[in-house]
Amino acid sequence: MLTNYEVYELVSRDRADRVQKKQGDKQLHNLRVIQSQVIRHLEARGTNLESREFIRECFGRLKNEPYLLSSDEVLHIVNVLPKSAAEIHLLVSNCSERLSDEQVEEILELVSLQAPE
Amino acid sequence: MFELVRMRDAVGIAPEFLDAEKGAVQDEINKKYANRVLDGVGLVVGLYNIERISNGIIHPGDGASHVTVEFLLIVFKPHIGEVLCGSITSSDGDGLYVSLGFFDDVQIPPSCLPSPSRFDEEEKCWVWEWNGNDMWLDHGQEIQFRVFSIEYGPRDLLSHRKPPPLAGASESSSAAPSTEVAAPAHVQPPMMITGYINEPGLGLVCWWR
Repeated sequence: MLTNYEVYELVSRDRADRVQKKQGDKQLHNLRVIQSQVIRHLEARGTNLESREFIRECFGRLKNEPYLLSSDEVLHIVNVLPKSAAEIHLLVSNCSERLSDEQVEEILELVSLQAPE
Repeated sequence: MFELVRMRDAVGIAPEFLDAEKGAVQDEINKKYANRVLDGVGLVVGLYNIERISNGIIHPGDGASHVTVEFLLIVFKPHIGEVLCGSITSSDGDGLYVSLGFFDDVQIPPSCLPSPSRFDEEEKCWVWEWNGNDMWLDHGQEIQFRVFSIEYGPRDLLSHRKPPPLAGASESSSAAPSTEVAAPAHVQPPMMITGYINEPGLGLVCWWR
């Protein structure tokens, strides 16, 4: 499984390379279409505001004490970028038994991704 | 949402590209697979990398070199239970239709909407009746849903034909299915996601944020 951010990085870089090399092969039209559509979808979700450091920090913090989330749960969280407690409950199974309200708030804070000033 | 999928395929490289073989192979793979659904797997976004290229074989009468390639593709391959986000494109009696931009075939049937919901014939829109309030599921709105199931491949067209109404039939009489086709048969897309939103945190993004 790839994080949305990894896909965003890969696809944007490939698209930028092609634009730079002026690769206008008509038969690669399908590739150009899906690349720009995927980029647009991920930018609308805020994926472009993430970074490798952000992904590393999320996995590093959330898999350990006190949260102890699974890799799948962390992956889901960095892809969805929840902004409400209800969404955290969607992404973490048995959430009310495993996380306190404060911990849920801490996770929301971690993934809130303030845009750079 | 996205996964790497390993594939093996035979690719022909035309003689004029033989001195830039790797680039030609990459292009051939992207031409063949990008933006196409791999049956039972998912929608291909593009080539990730090439792992191995065999030695080329040239067939008599054909100047192209044919190689066997092992490669990884980036594929849109959501899991059952995964939460995705898209926008509502249309609605009808069979439910809501949602698009992710790069993938258009998501349906949320009435049974997967929060209960109770009704379809407003005038606005052609679904409405969730919550605590006496009408929560409209308007077109163009961002909606978060969970993947319930994924279906691949065109199905038998006959399974999608609804029995056409008999001429002059009243509500109380039972309609027997006729063998005529009243409307064009619905074409099943190559990959179809069924979603549900009847869980807290799902539905219109603006309901929760």
